[in-house]
Amino acid sequence: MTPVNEFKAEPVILVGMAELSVTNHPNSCLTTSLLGAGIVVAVHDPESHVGGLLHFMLPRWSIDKESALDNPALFADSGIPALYKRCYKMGAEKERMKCYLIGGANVMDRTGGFNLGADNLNAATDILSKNGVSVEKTWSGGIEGRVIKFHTDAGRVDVQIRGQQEVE
Amino acid sequence: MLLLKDLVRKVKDLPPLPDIVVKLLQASRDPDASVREMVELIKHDPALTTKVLRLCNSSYYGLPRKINSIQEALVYIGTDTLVNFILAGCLAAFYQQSQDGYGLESGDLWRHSVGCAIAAQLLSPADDDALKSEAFTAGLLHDVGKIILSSFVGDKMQEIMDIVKDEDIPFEKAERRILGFSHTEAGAQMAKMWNLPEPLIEAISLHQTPQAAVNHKRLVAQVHVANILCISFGIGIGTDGLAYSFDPSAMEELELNSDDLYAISVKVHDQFSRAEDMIGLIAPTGHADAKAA
Ligand SMILES: [Fe+2]
Repeated sequence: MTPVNEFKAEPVILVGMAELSVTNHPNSCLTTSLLGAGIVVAVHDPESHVGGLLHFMLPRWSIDKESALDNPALFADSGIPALYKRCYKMGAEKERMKCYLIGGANVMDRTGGFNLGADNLNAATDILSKNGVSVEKTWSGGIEGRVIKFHTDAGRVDVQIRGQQEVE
Repeated sequence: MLLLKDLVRKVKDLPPLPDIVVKLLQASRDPDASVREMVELIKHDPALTTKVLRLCNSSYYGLPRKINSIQEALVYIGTDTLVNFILAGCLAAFYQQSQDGYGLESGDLWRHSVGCAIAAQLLSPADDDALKSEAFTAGLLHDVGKIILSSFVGDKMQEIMDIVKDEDIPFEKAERRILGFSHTEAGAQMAKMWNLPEPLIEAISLHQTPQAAVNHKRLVAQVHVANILCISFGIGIGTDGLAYSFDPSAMEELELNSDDLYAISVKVHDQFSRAEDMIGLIAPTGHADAKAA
């Protein structure tokens, strides 16, 4: 058994856009670059202490299949399965896993010609529900940029709006 | 409220735009200017030469061999790209101070500008090298007005954002109401005082309202869409967040639909991740260069 106090400093892992990262370090912090219309899918298994973060950019891998093969984290429908597979490999089990969605902000658009944030959110909820995953909590929409800190000890998500002090 | 004379004084207080930038911009638009003239201009600035060679040899270009001189650089990457690099090198210095009035950290506005330059270039027709180059430069400069307005925004940012939310209007409109100027107007004023070419002034001034463009509709549309993409992907955004409106007329102008834009976004991300050397130009020496010029 590792004594708890050995992890005094929470290791911080930065997950950039179109990246995914999974850890089984019981006390780490996964954080993202500033999030706009992209979406972060954060998953956590409290028993195996596996936590993962996917920061995808776009809704569908059919947008650029070649790039999706190269980097599944670009798209919702290639990134989410990749995230879950990595978690399973590290010992996570689907029934125990909790899932959170953050992001999907939109620019102001009166015509609906460019709704990337909404498209991304739809794509993520779609693929999750098709796979029987219910989302614990969603922070989405609006016109704000968000920064996330995901603490894998308790699977806690801190969402900070750019330009504001409080953490949600 | 800011008056025009306050703005003018503020621009005059900035380190001057290096002479070479204005000369190169003019030379690059002049079909009679020879490549040799450009090389001469660059060669006399050793700091600039070093930066340009560093960029040419960076992973962004991935050239098969090492470039050792400006002449070689011209052969390998072409005049237009070279001029872009030089501009990026000179302009980086202006973006170095943090624009904290806008909730931007040091380097954020530069990252946003480089991202927008890359995206605007990618939105050009494949066979139009002149437009590609111009779009890149316009992308680098589109938010230059934030540099001078930042110190005026200060504690008024909250007031501006409250108007944005209460009235559901884009940031630059609320900004104009509170400050007297929007950053697009301030940027256009700077560009005029710096004697920048007219297409760049139009792109800076109208990138938020591309339907108002007159002489350079295509360029302005490219910068508008590029800016919306960078904002959407959170590249160097501040407290203003995504509070900008998208104008579908720009998509018509470019003959693109949203799926095309998504596909282009993948390319933007790819090139942007490889542009670290260009982003690295914000290194501390940059500012001193501009002051000395
Ligand atoms: Fe911008």
